[in-house]
Amino acid sequence: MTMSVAATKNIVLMGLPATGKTSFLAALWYLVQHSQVASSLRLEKLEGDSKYLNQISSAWASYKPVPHTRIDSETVVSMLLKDARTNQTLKLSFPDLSGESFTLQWTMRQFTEGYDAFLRNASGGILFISPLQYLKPIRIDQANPLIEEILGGEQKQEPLQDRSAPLKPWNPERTPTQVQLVDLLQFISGRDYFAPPFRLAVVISAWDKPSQLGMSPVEWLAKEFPLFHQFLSSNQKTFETAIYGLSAQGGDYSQRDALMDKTPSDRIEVVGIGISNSHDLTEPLQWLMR
Amino acid sequence: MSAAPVTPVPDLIDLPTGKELDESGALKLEIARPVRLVVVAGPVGCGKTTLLTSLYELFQWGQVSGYSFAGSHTLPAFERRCYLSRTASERAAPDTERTPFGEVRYLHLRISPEDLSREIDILFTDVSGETFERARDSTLECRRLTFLRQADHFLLLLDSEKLIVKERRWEVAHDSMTLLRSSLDSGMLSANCLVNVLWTKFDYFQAASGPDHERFLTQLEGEVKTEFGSRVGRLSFSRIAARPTQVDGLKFGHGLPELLTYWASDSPRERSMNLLPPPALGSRESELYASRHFAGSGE
Repeated sequence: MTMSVAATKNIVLMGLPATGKTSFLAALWYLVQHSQVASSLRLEKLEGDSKYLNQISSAWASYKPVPHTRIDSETVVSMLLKDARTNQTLKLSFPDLSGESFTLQWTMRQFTEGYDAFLRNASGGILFISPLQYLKPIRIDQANPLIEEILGGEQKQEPLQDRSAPLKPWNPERTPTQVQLVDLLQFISGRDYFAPPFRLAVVISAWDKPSQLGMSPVEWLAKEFPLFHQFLSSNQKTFETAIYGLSAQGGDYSQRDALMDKTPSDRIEVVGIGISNSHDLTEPLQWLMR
Repeated sequence: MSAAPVTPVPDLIDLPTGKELDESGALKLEIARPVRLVVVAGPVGCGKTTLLTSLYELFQWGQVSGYSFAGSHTLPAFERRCYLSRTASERAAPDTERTPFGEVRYLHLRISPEDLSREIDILFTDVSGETFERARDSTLECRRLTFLRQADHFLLLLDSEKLIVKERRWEVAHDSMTLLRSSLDSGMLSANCLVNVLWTKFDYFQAASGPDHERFLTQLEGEVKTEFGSRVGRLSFSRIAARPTQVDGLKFGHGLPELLTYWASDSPRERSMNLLPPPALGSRESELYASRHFAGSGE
């Protein structure tokens, strides 16, 4: 009797703090174990230590915020899945790094050897962006007319800080989010082992919020992150991208009564080009492995 | 007494610093791919850094003249320079930090045209005004500025805020023309170099509108053409208001999209190495503007 060896796929999960990386993992771990959604990726069998995945998945299923990933965590979680279309067994591995570790890449210009080793063997990556919390490059000349309008001209008499006042020093953490994201990708493409094209699913999390604006995820990204969108468009040979909107929670937990009427997997909403089942969280993964 | 538990520190890999490039950083980039060098020259306070940061700021909000931002090796350096003009600095009025006197540094921008047919890497010098004032006063000092030899585009910035002051305008113009003369006479600026004279802070000219100011500009342009038109690859003039404050009619970055199109459309060094595609300017309005505005003057 021959034993089939599962193909291993390493998927890098990237994103600044509170962008939904762990919520994605939590919902994914739930989804692949249940038949509530017709997904082609299903759990083959439990293998090894699943304590962390079980913890975050339980929190997700009970409408509680998933635990915050520790900044020093280098946890790699793995799932042994079966692809119903190909009948192939896959071992998907994801490093669950904290968002702060990605902020530190930008501010300290370093990443860990563990992350580097994972990148070296990565089949692709998912970059998470939060539409709820991001920094825009607002210039003073853009803001002043609005402030003056709000204050009825008072702002001119009481400047926030005059030219001679001590300067608040530049804090790289306050850099516009889109700039930080560009550099996170440039760090990857700058590694000597980097082999383009690198498949990158860009996931705009908490999509239930921006979806109310009637825009597609691509349109939203182009409007809110224009520099980053230009970068992706210009670097298609380096980063082959697909842009998704994803709500793993299904909505705000402060209004969870409405969510509780749904089966857990039906809370999930995925939007993007080529999505055939809007509740199937594995669609971005399938695109990455295609 | 027991020792405090020690948290293991993970091994870290250093990533590119993203700071402004020094000579060796710039050289490394030039070896890796064709690079256009834009020298931004002028005295202290004429708007050299503001010109660069404003161009970068335009990309933060969308394409510029149809060109997309495609990357930069100096993102933190740009960000630091933009800081005093952003609300994050909590200042009431935008400002730009002065570039300190010292070695030449470079800022890098990579752009792509709409059809994504190529990437264009541009290095901008970030040199203090004092350095250019020394180069103006001494050809020996000028010869120290070895980057001038590599310049594809040489931008000579004249501060309109000073040019509208009658007592000072000919002095300011004289100083700038002397800098260009010194760069040419010391043999540092190539005869192929594309020289662009920029009337920066042009909103001051607009605010002080009058036939006398226009006459002055026309006279000065004529004189610069007479003196230098035959000594450089091409000579052109542009009106720039990178961060206008004096009049309402000018948009942020006034004149910069046309300049970018010009830098992107020509490089004497790449032309000499046959690295440029045929000089077929597209039909975009900005390119037509650039071809009308920059082509041929002084030739």
